[in-house]
Amino acid sequence: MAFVFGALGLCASPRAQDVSLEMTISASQVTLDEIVELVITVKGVQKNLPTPNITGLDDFTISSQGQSQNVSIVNGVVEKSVMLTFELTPKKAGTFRIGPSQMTIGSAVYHSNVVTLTVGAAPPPAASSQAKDLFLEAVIDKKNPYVGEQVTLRVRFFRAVNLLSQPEYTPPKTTDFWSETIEAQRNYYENLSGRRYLVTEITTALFPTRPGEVEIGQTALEVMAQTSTQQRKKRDPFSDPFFNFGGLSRGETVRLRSRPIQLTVRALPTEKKPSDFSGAVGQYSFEATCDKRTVEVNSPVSVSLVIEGRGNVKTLPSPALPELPDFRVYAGSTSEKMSTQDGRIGGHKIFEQVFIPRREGQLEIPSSRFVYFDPAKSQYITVATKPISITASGSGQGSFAESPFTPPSGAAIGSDMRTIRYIKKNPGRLRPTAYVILLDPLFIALNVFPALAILGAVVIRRRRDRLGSDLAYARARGAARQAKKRLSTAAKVAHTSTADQFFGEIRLAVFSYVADKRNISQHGMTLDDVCLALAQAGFTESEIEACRALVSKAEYARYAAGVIAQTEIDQALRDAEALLVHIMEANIV
Amino acid sequence: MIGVTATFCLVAPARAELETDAFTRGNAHYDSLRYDSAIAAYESAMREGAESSALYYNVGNAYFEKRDLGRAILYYLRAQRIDPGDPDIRDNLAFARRFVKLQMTGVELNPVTDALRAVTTPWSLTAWAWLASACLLALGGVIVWRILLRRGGFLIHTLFGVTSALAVVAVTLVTFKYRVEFAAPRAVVVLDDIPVRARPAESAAVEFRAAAGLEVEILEESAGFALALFENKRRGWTPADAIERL
Repeated sequence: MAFVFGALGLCASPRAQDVSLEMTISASQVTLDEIVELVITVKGVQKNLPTPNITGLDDFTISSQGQSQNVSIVNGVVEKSVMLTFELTPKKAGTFRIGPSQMTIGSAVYHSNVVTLTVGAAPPPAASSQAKDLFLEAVIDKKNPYVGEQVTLRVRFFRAVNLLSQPEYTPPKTTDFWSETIEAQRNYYENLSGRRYLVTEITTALFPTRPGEVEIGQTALEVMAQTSTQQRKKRDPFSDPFFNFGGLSRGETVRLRSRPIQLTVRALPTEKKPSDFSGAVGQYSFEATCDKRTVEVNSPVSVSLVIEGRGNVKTLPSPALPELPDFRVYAGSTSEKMSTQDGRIGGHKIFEQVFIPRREGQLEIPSSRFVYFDPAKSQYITVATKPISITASGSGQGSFAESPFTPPSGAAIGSDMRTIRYIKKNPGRLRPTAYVILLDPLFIALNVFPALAILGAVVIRRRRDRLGSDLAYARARGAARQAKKRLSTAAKVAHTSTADQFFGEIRLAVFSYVADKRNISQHGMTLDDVCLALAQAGFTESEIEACRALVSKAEYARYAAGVIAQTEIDQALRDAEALLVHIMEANIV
Repeated sequence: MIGVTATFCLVAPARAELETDAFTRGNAHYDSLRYDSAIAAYESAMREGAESSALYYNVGNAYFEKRDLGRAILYYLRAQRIDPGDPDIRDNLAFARRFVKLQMTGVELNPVTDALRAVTTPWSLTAWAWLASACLLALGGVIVWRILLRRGGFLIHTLFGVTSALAVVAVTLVTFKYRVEFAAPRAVVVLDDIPVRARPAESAAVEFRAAAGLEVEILEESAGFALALFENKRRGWTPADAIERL
């Protein structure tokens, strides 16, 4: 049979005598677990290649194909060529003739040479691993499962050398399976033929979806790894880079592939197949529970139908219920939980149903049947729930239509819902109609806050910067605080210490405030300077005189503390406080 | 001011109680198959100025049972706008849509819009808005920290980069969500077999006929007609009373 490849490009019109086809393979002898690369080189044409036919590929699987172009100039002659590359995986052992490949360009037909490939049997894993630093294997636990029965696929990556890059893993194609990952990755060590390997294992549960011959595709992995030679070199003192004289030891890129796995999937038996079997395979239990047994007519009862066991619970269909004239039935929510036990997928699936009694009296929700196929026993099993008795009181009104609509002609409903889900009993959080959070003043304020915070931070930062760099500014800003501090000290010592200390603080409070505001030293200041500053700030003559009197008294008291009465000290404190408050309100510069 | 606050505090719980009573009354009517009465009760709760996803969902159910497919879809969409993650709303909307007599499909969406829609669909505008606020607060915090402490280096730059990117993404998604769900005037055809005309006039040629339940975007309104953009990008003038805004 000729293997037909897809069209590869647009047309060109090369001269017929310039075109030639050559076919090569990467190895003439391989084993069954190896991949061989087939290259067809078409010289004399670079694009617009027609469809080539290659004979002799019946016993191979084409895993990938690619195309590359090459232009070379030798002695001024331009030579164009296209290389078509195919990766072939042998299906069986033997000697095979591949080719010739045939290509029609214009009106001329071109043929390539023929290559011969000998495929030997795959060595046992232990033997093969002895020679290999890295290898990949994919194994399954059963070769002929039933449709829907779990097949466990284990992909194992063995390595006895260091990896120099992250492995690029391509999982196998599982077109004819429903797939569930059991264990994403597990690492452990294993000894094979005296060699210790680090094994990375990925376990997947596969459920065949059709009977017949099906295939689990090949698994691929590409990684850069250190070779054994390089490992040995590491222990060799003369393999030091100093002695290597520019030699590179970057490892090599290794492309590993597992062989595709063929399975024969058995169809489920047709004899003794119950009419209500809907495809469930595994081992399951089935039970029903309800939230209440006594209810008023037209009030809902919630019934949970629970299917639990081993198998693909995700695909379990809703259990069938017979027609119930006494109830309106609404489909409720469906929930499922998957779990793994001893490498087998299982879990439970809960189907909620809402039953609303239509009449009063002793009503019964009949038992519901669930049929599954047990692959271990190779037979169909039927399990059923127990009937549920409901006592309905009161009287119902109106009539009920199960489905108010009929679907448009030709439209598929495509789900297991027979009608809408039931109403909600709780109104939830009521909010103003047409509420849009973006227009909520609280929300707007919250979002303005970061901008204000940034603005505030900028202001604080600039103030701090100025305080650090501008001494006049810093002194002026701190003048009031310093003056208040001195007044506070004066108030403390007014009754506990000597009058000279008290008046010293009073004088200092006034002088230091004016000095800080004007950014001059207080030590060189005189009372006249203070009075001048007050005059410039717009103080009246009487206010300036009051200040002069206070400061004069303070200077006098420092040298005649003994003659100052306590009442005068108290009065001086009050005068000083009033004066400073007044000064602080004025703009002294 | 205190008086107003006190009045609000007294009135607000009383109003909430009224709304809840109307909701419960609506449910009782629904269970008794009196769908018109149920809708009236639910609408009285809405007239009080309240909405919730459950309220809209129940109204949608009542309209569905009343065989008013257009309004059922309208209320499911309103419910979904408040609570996009509710599986009951999602399932009932999907179920109701299957009964729409005319399916407007066949036009590929803009891939960017499609991707943004896919990302924003699982959460409501409120949830996205809170997320964006949190990102903005975090970004503000990082900037304030940077300004006040004069900190530089890898950590602060990384935090600034991450929070800036998150804030930009979140604000973009919020803007998109708001534009799609609130700024663009969306509506649902609530009457069946509606003529869609080339011009806003009764005498204009009928281009095609719309079915109840179709979702549209209103582009323009004129003389009792609305220029509706359908999901398959077809457009035409429909009677204004045949569509209801979301």
